[in-house]
Amino acid sequence: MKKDTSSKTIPYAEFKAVALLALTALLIGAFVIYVMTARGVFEETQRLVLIADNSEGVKTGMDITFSGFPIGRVRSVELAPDGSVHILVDVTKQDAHWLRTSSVFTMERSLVGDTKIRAFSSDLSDPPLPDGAERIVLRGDASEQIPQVMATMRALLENLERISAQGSPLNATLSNVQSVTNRMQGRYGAMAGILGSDENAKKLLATLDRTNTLLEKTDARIFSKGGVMDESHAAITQLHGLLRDARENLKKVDALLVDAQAIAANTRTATADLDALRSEVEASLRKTGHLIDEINRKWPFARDTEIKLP
Amino acid sequence: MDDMSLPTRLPPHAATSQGPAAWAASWWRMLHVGALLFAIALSPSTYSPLNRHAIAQQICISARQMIPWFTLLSALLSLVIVHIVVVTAQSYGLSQFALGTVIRVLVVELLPLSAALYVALRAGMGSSAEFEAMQHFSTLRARPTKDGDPLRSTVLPHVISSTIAVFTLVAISGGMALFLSYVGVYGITPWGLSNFSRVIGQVFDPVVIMSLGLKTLLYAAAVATIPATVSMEDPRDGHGASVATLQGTVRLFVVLIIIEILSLTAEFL
Repeated sequence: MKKDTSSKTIPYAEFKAVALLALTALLIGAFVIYVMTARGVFEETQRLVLIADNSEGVKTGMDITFSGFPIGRVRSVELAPDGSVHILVDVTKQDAHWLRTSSVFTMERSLVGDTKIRAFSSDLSDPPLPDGAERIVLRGDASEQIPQVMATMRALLENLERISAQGSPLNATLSNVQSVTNRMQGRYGAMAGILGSDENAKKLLATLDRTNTLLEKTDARIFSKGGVMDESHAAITQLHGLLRDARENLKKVDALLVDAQAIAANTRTATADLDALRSEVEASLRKTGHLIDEINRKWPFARDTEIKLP
Repeated sequence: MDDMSLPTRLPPHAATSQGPAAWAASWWRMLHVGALLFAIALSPSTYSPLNRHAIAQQICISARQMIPWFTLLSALLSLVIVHIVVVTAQSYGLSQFALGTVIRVLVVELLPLSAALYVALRAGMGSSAEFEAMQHFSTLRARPTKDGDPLRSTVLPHVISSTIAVFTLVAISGGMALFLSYVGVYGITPWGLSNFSRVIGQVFDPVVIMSLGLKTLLYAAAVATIPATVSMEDPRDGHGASVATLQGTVRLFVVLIIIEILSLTAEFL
């Protein structure tokens, strides 16, 4: 401070000092109120509890977005008694209608940047998500999958190395393919490639020619007039007549069987009458025996059959 | 308030002024005098009409000297840093982090430290030299004066004006940095206000706000009291006034760095 400034009196110094203090206090107060507004202190919210298995990357104050628009903030992160993580989210009332009972929540952790919590609502006609609802958050962590991807890549590279090594099956196959394609470049094309040489292809062609000739002869033998097919047709016609005769004979046999069945029934009835006749004969014989015995007793020449003991 | 009246001259250093004991004693004296100045500043009897006028005069002088230049310099610094961060973030495809980074770097870290350093260099060291000059001419030794303790009418206005200057500069430069950050990221359009507010809400969580407020308060206390306490070191210990001023400057920088480290520790640990 210079000598002249200290000696010079500023008019209305106290008023100016108070104004400066008021300006400073106003700036600080306005900033604090703005920050509180920006942090959603004055917003009406509803609570959403997201349940996760790991709270890594989740910070108080981070956004939850729907279609890229922030609709809520993480208010706190708690460890539940069952060991799961409860992420308490305050969703503003004016944006809460984007969340439905069928909404899905994901937590994605990218390699660069913060963890992101996103909400997806496939059907906006579902009932709105109630206050205090608990939902499981699906976790997708790119960095967590890096070791797995690296292991898979290593296995893949080893396989590729094994496949492309000298004397590997793939190399042998490729050399075989090359020899086959070389053979295909000859006169007989793919046929020589498949059969191994032009001679084999030539033999096959000859065989095909002979087969064609044979087929022509066979056709003439079978399908020509008076051929095998005509004779077969006549034989089938005769067989049809034989079958008709056999059917009529079978009908006659059937009638004979009916008559035999009637005879057998009559025989069974006659057998029943013989039993009654036998019983009557036995009764008559018994009566005749009694009559003879009576005559013998009354007859004078009857013998005294009684033995008198002394 | 007689029991809280300041000594006009602190006792001379011990014979072995270079030892750790002297070093510790010097720091202890600084804390002691700082606490006494703080107590006097909070005492209602300090604000007699004459003292009040002197304090108001000093506040106005400090404001007139510092606010325009620092506002201009902080605006330039903010513009440059905002541009660098935004362009760099865009080139790496990380533009979504540019605004948060700018606000953290400027408003939370750089500008409060810059304001404290500016006030320390512009007012604190100036007043320290002035106090020493007054000591040389035995102005501070002549007590009591008609308004009581001469330190209340001479040293305390500088202390209070420096404290207020730090808060004012931090508030003004912070507000301007926020405005320039918004313009630098979104341009002159109101459509980015919602996103901007959301980023502000994410950056300034309660810990950061408390850290910023406490850091500014400690900066202001250090900048206001350390030059005044250094000026009261007795020059008879073999060092000249300029050496004492240099020691005070070094001590002030050390304290500011310690406060900044503590603030960073509180914010990021």
